[in-house]
Amino acid sequence: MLEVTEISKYFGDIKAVDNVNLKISKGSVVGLLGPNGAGKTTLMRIIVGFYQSNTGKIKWNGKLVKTKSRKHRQRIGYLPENNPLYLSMTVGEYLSFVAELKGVDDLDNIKKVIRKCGLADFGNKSIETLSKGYRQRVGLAAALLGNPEIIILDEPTTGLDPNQIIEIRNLIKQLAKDRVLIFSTHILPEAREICERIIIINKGKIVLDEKTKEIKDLEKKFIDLTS
Amino acid sequence: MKRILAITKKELLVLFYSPIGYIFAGLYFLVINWLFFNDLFILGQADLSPYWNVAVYLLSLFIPAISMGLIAEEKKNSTWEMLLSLPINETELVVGKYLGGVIYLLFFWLMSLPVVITIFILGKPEFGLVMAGLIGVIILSISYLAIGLLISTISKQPIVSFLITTVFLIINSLMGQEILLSRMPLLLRDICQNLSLNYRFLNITTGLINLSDLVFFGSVIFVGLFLASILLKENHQK
Repeated sequence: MLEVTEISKYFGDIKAVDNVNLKISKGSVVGLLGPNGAGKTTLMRIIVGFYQSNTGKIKWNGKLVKTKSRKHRQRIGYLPENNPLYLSMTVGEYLSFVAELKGVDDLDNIKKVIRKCGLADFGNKSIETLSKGYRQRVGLAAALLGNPEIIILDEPTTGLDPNQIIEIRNLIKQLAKDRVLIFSTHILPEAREICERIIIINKGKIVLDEKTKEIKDLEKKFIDLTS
Repeated sequence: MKRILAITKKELLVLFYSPIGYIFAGLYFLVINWLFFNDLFILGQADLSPYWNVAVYLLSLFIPAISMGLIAEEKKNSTWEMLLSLPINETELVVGKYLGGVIYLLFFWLMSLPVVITIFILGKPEFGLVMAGLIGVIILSISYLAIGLLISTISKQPIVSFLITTVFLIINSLMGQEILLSRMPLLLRDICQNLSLNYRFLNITTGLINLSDLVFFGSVIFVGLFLASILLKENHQK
C-alpha cells in the first residue's frame, strides 16, 4: 500500500500541493482529476521522487521511504506528461537504455514488456518515425520495465485517436491487477470507465476521494468542486 | 558505474546522430586547415604552433555547440523528468554526459591526425612538441566541455547556453593574450594570466607541461562537474 501523508509543496509563495493525504492499495486504478494547474502533476512528481515535498511523508507497505532513493525509484514506473522520448533512438536502443538505468538484466522481463505493449516488431524502428500511439506504447513499455509495483501515468491518452485510446485503456486495466496504478486525465468519461476510485484535486487540495460507482454525476460534481 | 556508462552510451548515440556536431566539426576543420596551410607554405616551416593558436578560438565556438544540448536539451524536451524519475542521481547523470562528450571529442581530434602526418611528411618537426600540442588541445577541449556543461545546467534553452559559453570562453581566451596582458597593471595581469585556460594551454604547446597547469585544468573540470550536479539538484525543485 502507498500512503501519502500531509504532503505539501511550495514554489515560492505558491502552494502547489496543500496537505494531501492518500492511501492507495494494490489492484485498482485510481484516477487523479482536476483542472489545469490543480497540482496533479506536482503530486505525481513528488511520489516519483522528481520533486522533494516541503512537508509530509510517503510510506510503502507501512515503511517510510526516501523518494529520491534508488530503491524507491526502482519500484516506480512513470510516464510523464507528453511522454518525452529520445526521438533519434530506435525503440530497442531506448528500452535497453531505460533497462540499464533501472538495473534490469532480465531479458525475459524486457521481452515480456515489449510483447505486452505490442512493440515486438518495432525494435529497430526509430522512435521519430512512430505514430503518437506507438510512441505512447514505448513510454508505457519504459515505465513497465523492471516490473514496478507502483505505476504513475500522467495523462497517458492525451492526443491519441479513439482506437489508440481504447488500446491504452485496456492496457492500463491489465496493468492494475497486482499494482498500485495512478493515472491523471482530463477526460471524465475515461476516468469513469477505467477507474475504481476517483480523486479530484483543486488548488492543490483533495476535494473529492470516492469510489467511482458511488459518484452519481461525475461531470456535475467536477464542475461544482473545481469552478 | 553501469548507470554512468549507460548515460555515456546514450549521449554518444545522440551526439553522433545530431547534425549540429558534424556541421560545426566540418566548419572547424575547413577553417583551421585553410588558415594553417595558407601560412605553412608561405613560412615554409613544419611547425604546428600556429595550428594550436587558431584552435583555441575556433574551439570557443565548436565546444559550446556540443555542450549546449547536454543538459539544456533534456530540459527543453522534458526528457530529464523521465531521467530523474529513474534510479539515477544527478551526479551520475552529469558524469555520464561529460564522459560521452569527452569520447566524442577524442573522435573529433582523431580528425586532426592527417594534418599532423602531413607535417611529418613535409618536414621534421620536433615529435615532443607535436605531442605536447595534441595533449594540450585535448586537455583544453575537455576543460571547455566541463564549463559548457555547467552553463548548460543553468539554461533551459540550448541556444542561450551556446551563446553564454561562447562569450565566456572567448573572454577567457582573450585574458591570456599578450597584446592585452601587456597593457594591464601587474596584479591584474597576474590574475588574468593565471585564470586564462588559453594562456596555460599555450604553455603546454611549447612543450612545458607544468604540474600547476595540469592541476588547474583538473580543478576546472572537477569544479565544473561538481557545480553542475549541485545546480541540477537545486534547479528542478524550484
